[in-house]
Amino acid sequence: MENSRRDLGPLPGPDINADARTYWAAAAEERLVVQCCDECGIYRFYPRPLCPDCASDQATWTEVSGQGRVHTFTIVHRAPNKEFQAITPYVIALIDLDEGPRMMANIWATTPLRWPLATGSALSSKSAMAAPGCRSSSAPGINQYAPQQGHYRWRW
Amino acid sequence: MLRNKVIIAGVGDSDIGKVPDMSGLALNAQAAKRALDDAGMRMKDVDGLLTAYSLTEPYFMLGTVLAEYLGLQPTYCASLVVGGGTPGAALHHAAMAVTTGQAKVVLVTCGENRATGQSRDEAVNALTQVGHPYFENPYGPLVPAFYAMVTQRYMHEFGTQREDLAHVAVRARHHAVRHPNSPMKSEITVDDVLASKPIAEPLNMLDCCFISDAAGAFIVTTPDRAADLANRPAWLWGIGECHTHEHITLAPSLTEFGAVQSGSQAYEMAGVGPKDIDFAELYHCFTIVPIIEAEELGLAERVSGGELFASGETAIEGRLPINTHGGLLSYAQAGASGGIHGIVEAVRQLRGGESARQVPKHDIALIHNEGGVLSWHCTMILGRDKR
Repeated sequence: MENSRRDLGPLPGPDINADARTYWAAAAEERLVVQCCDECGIYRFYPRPLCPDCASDQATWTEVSGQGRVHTFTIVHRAPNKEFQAITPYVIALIDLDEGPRMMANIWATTPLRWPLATGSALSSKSAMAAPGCRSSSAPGINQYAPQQGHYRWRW
Repeated sequence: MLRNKVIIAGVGDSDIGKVPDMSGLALNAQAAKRALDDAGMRMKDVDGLLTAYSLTEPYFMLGTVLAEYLGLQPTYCASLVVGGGTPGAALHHAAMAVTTGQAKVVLVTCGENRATGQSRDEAVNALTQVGHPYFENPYGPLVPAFYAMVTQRYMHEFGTQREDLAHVAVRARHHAVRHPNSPMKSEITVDDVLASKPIAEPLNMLDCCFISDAAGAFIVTTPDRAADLANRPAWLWGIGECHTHEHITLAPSLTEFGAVQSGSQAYEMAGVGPKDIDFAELYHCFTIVPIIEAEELGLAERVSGGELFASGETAIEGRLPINTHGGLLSYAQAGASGGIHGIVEAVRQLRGGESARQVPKHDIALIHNEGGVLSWHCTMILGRDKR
């Protein structure tokens, strides 16, 4: 299941400010990095200068596994712009990384209209809602992740 | 402690729906004039002004702009921004202002011309402002997608049914068609909701509020003015707020929100509990929202919020009438005006005389406002009399 920019259409790239720069620079190299607090050891997302748990201003950017579980999702039919409208319906999910932080992502199914997550049982934490074993693809720009067999690819 | 310290002396709303011949500021002015008339006050009685924000007319310093527009030179004036819940925040701030003598009479007015004051693209663009610009918007969400994700998780954890959501919309419309100022004139069915166009699954078009031109206003003052008013005032018994997050990605939970905390503060201040509430005006931007709020505010048991709406108990003649004007789903939603129409409606219901939609028991009202993605909560309890 090779992933490419063509699969997704020309989606707009992210806006990037100073807080976000390190994250997206790593993403351009297909590395998923989050900050880890040097004092309390808690991983945080989204990036910011103070730890939301202990207010320490010391943190280290750390590459994480890219494995996690889908906490919730929606299948979007009404998009904010023509680029996303061209790929409707698409899935937006909140994914809990194994390291702790929650982040928003797209999940791409091979046949979007038959999205397998739409069954109630799929939301079980022990089910295929988990998206482990993601490996990076060769997609440029915003990172794309493709699944190992039986898993879903997600785009963060 | 604000119990019995403040009254709402008058309420008003603007023309509602599609009002292309009025600017957003004009809608606010119309609502303000109607609220002052309702109170039996004049514009020159106003020495405090609180408003919200406008996406269609994004003036810098909107509070000061509105004061200028109305010919006011207030000693207390600000624009607040906590989304559709801004009117609740404004009531809280106004109450503190009049009890501490910062102002004697505070006019609160919120709303804008969302339906006709912007192009469709601008409207959609406005809806992206709720998402985090760097870590949510790259994935293509609009506001309904955020609430859809809440809905999905809620259904998963608590078994809320798609039909339960639809009943919320059907009930709202049933009430709105009884309101003389409502733009909605025809009933809808559960099947209509389930068959409406999918927006962000599991939410369909009729699970989502529609965009209006609308403004609402109310007048906050101290009880010593009560005897001079043109109409019966409503008494502020209790009010509470809670802020837990802004972006859904950082919500501490998708099934437990800040309404528990804001509600318990309001109940404690008022010295009443959920069982004492005669009717409620809950926030209503998507069908899942009043279900969650009813549960968090103790108006329904956890897990049974959906049944509350499906059972008919929230009808005008039911055990606990909810959203008696139709709420955001079927009455009006114009940005920050979202929460104000519930406050206006509660004051009218407390007085009585609302004919086709008058609730039979109308001594104690609960109003709940929220902003963002269930990010910010304000619960208000108003009484027909002094507590």
